[in-house]
Amino acid sequence: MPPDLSPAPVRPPAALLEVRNLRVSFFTPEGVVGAVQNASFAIERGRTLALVGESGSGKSVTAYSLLRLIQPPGRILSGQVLLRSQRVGEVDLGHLDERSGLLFTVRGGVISMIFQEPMVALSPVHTIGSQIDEAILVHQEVSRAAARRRTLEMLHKVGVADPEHRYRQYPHELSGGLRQRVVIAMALVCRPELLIADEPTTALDLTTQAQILGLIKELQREIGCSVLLITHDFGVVAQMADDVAVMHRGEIVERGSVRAVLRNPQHPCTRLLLDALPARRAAAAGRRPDGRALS
Amino acid sequence: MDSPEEPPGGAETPLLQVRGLTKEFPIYAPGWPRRQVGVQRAVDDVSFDLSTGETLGLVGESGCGKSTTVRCLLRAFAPTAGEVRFALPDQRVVDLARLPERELKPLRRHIQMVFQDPFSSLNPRMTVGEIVGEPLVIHRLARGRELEDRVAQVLERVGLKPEHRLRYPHAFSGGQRQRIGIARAIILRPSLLVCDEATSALDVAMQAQVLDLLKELQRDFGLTYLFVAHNLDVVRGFCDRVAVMRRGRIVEEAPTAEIFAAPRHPYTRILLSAVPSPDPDVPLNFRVGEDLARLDATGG
Amino acid sequence: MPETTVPALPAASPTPEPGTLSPWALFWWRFTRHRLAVGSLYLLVVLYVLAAGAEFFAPYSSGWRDLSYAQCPPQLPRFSWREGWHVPVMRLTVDPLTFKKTYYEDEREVIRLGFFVRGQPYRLWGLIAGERHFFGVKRGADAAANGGPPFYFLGADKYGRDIFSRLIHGSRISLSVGLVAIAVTFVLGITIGGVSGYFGGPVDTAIQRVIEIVNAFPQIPLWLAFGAVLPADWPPVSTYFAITLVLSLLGWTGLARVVRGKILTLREEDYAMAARLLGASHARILFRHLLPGFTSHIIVVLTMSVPAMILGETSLSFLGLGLRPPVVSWGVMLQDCLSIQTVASYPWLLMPVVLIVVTVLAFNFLGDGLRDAADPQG
Repeated sequence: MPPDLSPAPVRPPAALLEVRNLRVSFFTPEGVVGAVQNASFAIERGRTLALVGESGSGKSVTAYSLLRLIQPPGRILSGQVLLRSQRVGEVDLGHLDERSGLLFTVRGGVISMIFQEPMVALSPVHTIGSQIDEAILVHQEVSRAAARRRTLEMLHKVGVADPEHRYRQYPHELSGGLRQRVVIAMALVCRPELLIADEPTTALDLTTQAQILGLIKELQREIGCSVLLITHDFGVVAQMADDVAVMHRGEIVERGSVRAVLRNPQHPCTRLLLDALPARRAAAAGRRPDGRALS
Repeated sequence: MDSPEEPPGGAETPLLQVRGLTKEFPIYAPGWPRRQVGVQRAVDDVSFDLSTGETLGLVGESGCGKSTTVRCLLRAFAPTAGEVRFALPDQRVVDLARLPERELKPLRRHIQMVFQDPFSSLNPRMTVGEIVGEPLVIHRLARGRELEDRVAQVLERVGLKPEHRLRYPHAFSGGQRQRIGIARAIILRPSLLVCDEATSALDVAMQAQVLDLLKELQRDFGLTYLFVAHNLDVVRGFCDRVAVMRRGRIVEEAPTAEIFAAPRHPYTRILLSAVPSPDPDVPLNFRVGEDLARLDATGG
Repeated sequence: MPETTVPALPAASPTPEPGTLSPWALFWWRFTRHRLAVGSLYLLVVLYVLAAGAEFFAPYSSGWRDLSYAQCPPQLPRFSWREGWHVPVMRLTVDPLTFKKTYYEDEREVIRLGFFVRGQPYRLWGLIAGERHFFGVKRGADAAANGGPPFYFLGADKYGRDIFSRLIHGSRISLSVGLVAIAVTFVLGITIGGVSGYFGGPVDTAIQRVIEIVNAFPQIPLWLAFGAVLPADWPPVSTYFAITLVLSLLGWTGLARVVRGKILTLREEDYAMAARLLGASHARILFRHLLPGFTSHIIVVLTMSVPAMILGETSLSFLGLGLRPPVVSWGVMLQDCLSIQTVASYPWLLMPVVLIVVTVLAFNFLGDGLRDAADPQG
């Protein structure tokens, strides 16, 4: 598959999102914890950046701070989050007023987010359909009927069978995989320029994970958005991302294209994450490196 | 199902023989008073052997019945049918499926379990020392200084510090909590250790560390593992044999290398194709959904 | 990197030795952050100390009266270097046309006040004899207890009884009714809820239906029925216990539900399963693993339901269904406020309402603080 064909001709010189020297700390009763320390990276238009690290390395905090979703006792100390949006122009999200309308336009309109646990994003007391409708109505001036049409179309697109029926269902009536599809529909229905996916498949079965990853890839191609994928699994990175940034204790310790990093990992932490993969462990344990057979 | 590579245990009786294990749950119609309208067969005629010192992986996706299977073995609830023959250290063989709870209790020390969720499996109101020492207290095997010493020993054995026994679980990371859970499970020196998704909640790096620890412990104590996982990839390099479960049945059982090199059952092949490879040139099968549907259509 | 010191996001403990604080210590630590709750706790302690030492703290006994000072308004103590704490003597005038009685302050004569003064003799809890009062009228050594003009801190009622003293004496019943009823509620709630949650099945179903029926009963008519059943000639102590029983017979359902719900959830926790698979006995699982998991919740529920009990006693007594004079409780005192005219002319008769509101609020704030401490995530 040639995913690089479409974004190439229109790619502007500057990256869609550029993070410079981001610092986030948590002011807890027992002291200050520096969760993100001087993180700098860029997300190119139409490409996928994977932010990889162990649990507690600060990758989720980084993602949350892009949308200014850090809750007290956490605080963004310094740093720029430059968004060069086609829709709202160039904004520094790091210094935007907490209550400004622009921030709300960006959240969900220009940058969408999906979480490891789909129920975080879904309200248990509203039907799926009304929640996606709401996501459209908040960001676009369309009639309720038009929003409903868009919702059904989107549900169909994310592979939900019988959208008319699902439209009226509540989140708890769906399986985990289906919920994540609904969340993806909700996140992409406004055609954002950047999708942040925070461990979107960690809680899912392998077969469901493969389907959800495929879905994200497919919709990314269609919408032309960039993806920031947060994960600890280099298998997922290799399959999904173009570029990778490895985080360790709040710092970005290695950056580069996926192929370069996989071929020649520099930082010990990257190597540790790679060597921890079962496939590599099995190979290291002297078993015969197995061909992956799907005849 | 003898593996040509590793025939551990050899000709003597296997540690665990499961035969025709079946568990049915009643299905009730909604409303009250409740009315039973049928049964859900969660485990359907499952049989396998496990020899001493061996590691068997039980792999399947959520809802396939693997957790129900191990909970039947451990008699968290009684199976509907089938036998679970377990060889005690004194060579006696008992059928765990039929034993009354009273006779079962003293035998529980021989089979222990490591849980999936490192957060809910440790009582937040007890110190690590109390948690790890509890098995000894329950079975009245040690008290006072001896208890303290054995707890300190086992904590060191799983890579924690003896002084950690005064802390509460909330002060530990996921990987450390899982080590505490392992310490609690091995302090009684069981012969069989059931690991129910013991590494699923951990990130890749911690997963590898916990697996290494389990391997070490197996070598040192001659443990036998029944390793339940939903990720076929995890069992690679850890299990001697793998049994793949789907819809309550074991669809394929083979030595691990064989499963990965030449899977026979189409479902195993689909599972394997869904493992994301760290090599970008080995593409992931994003169309697993269609493969699964085709499998269902052919009645596999 | 091995997982040595991963900076956990929500910091767990405030001490230099991390992680060794017990959940109880953490609970207390979080509670002390809640200023309003801590303040309420202090206030309640003061109220209960006053109630416990009522004979000592009240200037007069509950039955003491001086009919010549009926409906006397409150007298706020003043301070001067010459007289010390004092109040002017109240004089009564009767309007010759309307016969309306009014009191005026006669500044020429003062009543001197003081702490730890000699007053009416009493027996604290019927045991310890004494005649010193915490606060009251300072008299000459030979003056009789009832000699001289009286001092009404918060005014007098229609029989010339001191409202302040009666409030303190009445708090003994009004405040303790909550605690005694809570004790009964606790026993009923824990046992019934525990049985329901631990055994489950048909037992659980049956108990849940009973709870629903009890909850569906309209309370006031039920109280009326109970009140009618109580014989009027019962001694005060029996009536008192009958009332607490009535209150707790209706109040245990909330606690039972909490206990049942908590046991049902905690039973599903892996650590309960782990204990079972270790071969632990039912008693060990219940008392070592399940109960400690929600003792803080029980405390919260109990604290939150004390106000309902206090209000219940007050309403019953106010309606004349509960305690009757000569017993003093806040509800009994409020029986004087049945007409709007009385309340308009002698607003100090409403003092029990102020105390009830303060007490109920204090219990609610305390409960809020305890709940936040028990459930930091909300």
